[in-house]
This record gives sequence, C-alpha cells and structure tokens, in this order.
Amino acid sequence: MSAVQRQDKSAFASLMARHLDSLYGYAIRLTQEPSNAEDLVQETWLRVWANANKYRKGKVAFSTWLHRVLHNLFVDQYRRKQRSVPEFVEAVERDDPWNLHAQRQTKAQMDHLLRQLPDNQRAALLLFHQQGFSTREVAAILCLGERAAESLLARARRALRQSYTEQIDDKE
Amino acid sequence: MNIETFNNLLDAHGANIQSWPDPQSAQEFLQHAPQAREELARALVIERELAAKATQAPTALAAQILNNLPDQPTPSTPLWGELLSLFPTEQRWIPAASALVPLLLGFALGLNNSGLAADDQEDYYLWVFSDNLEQAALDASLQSSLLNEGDAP
Repeated sequence: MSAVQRQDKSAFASLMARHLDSLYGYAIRLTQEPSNAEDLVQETWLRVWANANKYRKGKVAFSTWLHRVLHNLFVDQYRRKQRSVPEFVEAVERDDPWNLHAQRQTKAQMDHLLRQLPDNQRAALLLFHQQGFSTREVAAILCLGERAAESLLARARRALRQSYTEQIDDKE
Repeated sequence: MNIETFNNLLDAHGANIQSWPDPQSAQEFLQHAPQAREELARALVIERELAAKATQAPTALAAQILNNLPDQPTPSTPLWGELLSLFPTEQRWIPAASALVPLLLGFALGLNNSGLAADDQEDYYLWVFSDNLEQAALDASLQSSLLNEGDAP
C-alpha cells in the first residue's frame, strides 16, 4: 500500500488483483445488479487511488478501509436510486456441474430474500458471513459502534431466517 | 434453556454453536428440541449460502479501472509532514519521548560538567548562576588579576 501511496501503478494493479474478486462478490450481492456492482467497484478503486495517502497503516486493515470506501459510495450513490432490479446473472460460477442447478436455485432464493432486507442489514450480513470480517470490523466499515453492529447483525440474521422459513412453509 | 433463548443466541452468535457463550448447554438442548434443530439447520443453510464466493469479477473490469486511473502528480508533503511520518502512527511514543527529553538533557549537562577542567569550574558556575554575563566576565577577570598579583614575588 505504501507503494500505491507513492502513485505506483503496478503496485496498485497487484493490490487490486488481490482484492477485486472478493470486493466484486460483495458489491454484486449488495447492489443485486451486475452493472451497478461494476460501477461501484470501479469507483471504489478510483477513490482508493486518489485517496491512498489518507490510509493509515496500522489503524485499520486495508480490506476494512477498502470496504468502507465502497460502503460509503453505496450509501451516497445507490441507496436512493430505487432502480428496477433485473434478473440476477452470475458472472462466473465454479461449481460442480451436477449440483449446479440446485445450487443456482438456492442461491437465487437467497438473493431474493437478501434483496428484501434493509440495506444496512444486508451489508452487515454479507460483510460478516461472506467477507469474513469480525463484528468490530463490520462496525468500522458501517461507521457504527460495536454494540450497534452486533445488534444489527442479530436483527438481520433473525429477519433472513424468518423469511427463509416462510418461503419453505409456502412451498410445503 | 428454552427455544426463545436458543433463537436469541442463534441470532446473536450465528450457527456455529462452538462460538456461543455456553455451547455445552446448547448442545444438550438441541438433543431434546426438534424445533431448535430445524432453526439451526436453516441458519446453517443461510450462512453457507452467504459464505459462498463463486463470483469472479468480469475479466475486463481490472483493465478498465487501470485505464481510467488519472495521472496524478505526487502530492507535495511539507517537510514537517515528512518528519512526522517517520514516527510511529500510534500515540504511545509521545509519553515515552516526553519522559526521555529531560533525562537526555540532564545527561548532556552532566557530561559537559564532568568534562570541565578544575580551573574552568569557577567560570562555569559564574556563567550558570550569574544573571548578568558581562558582570560575570568582569568579576572573573578581576579575580584572576588579583590572584596573579598575589602570586607575584
């Protein structure tokens, strides 16, 4: 990161290569739309390049800072857009072909349920369970206190489990 | 434990029972509560699905970002900023440095003092304790001339 702070483009490219898939995976489930996710990820990296000097090593991990930049952009640019949500298409899937159909179905179900959650609950769940951040890091990314993040996560887990249960009950 | 407590713990800590405050009693409760087992199974499906990272960024995205990077001149940092950046970013060094400054000052003074020749010590004390340096110099030269007169045969 210190090389990126000196505006070294090749260092920036390797930093981006390390984090791009993970960040895109988060963005696509957060925005629920591939083109929005691409814009969001691109804007995030441009911000990282422009504001690299604001990152203080040792204060937070780079990935926490990166997700915080993305989250701030998401809140600024995407939350109030109220766009219609197109069919969700996975860019690339690396799964066993025999289970692909069933897994796609479950994934589509889960994405449908995630879409119904409030943005902050969806973000907290994805940051914790998909991106593997700790509660403290989730709090730092979402600009919350640790207790507030714990509470948000608990509400999100309950809401998602309830809607999942309802969906199962409806099918039966 | 009852189902309400179990669900609250499931919401608060997730489906990994080992991370709960009292995993043993949760395990025991699970053996007798089919509803709790169902809730746990659903939570596990959800968490497994959330954790699935099958998404890859489009291959063109990285190149697109790199092409859009503006060529920025390196921002000029003032000299004091450069000097400050040499210090650790954590604030713990400040009290330590504050404690070290008087210690080093005292050490330096002590070192200088021990290096003085015996003849110079009087001048040194005059210099340190006199409010008026010119007066001190005058006193010193007067004293020296009186001594020389005394030594004369």
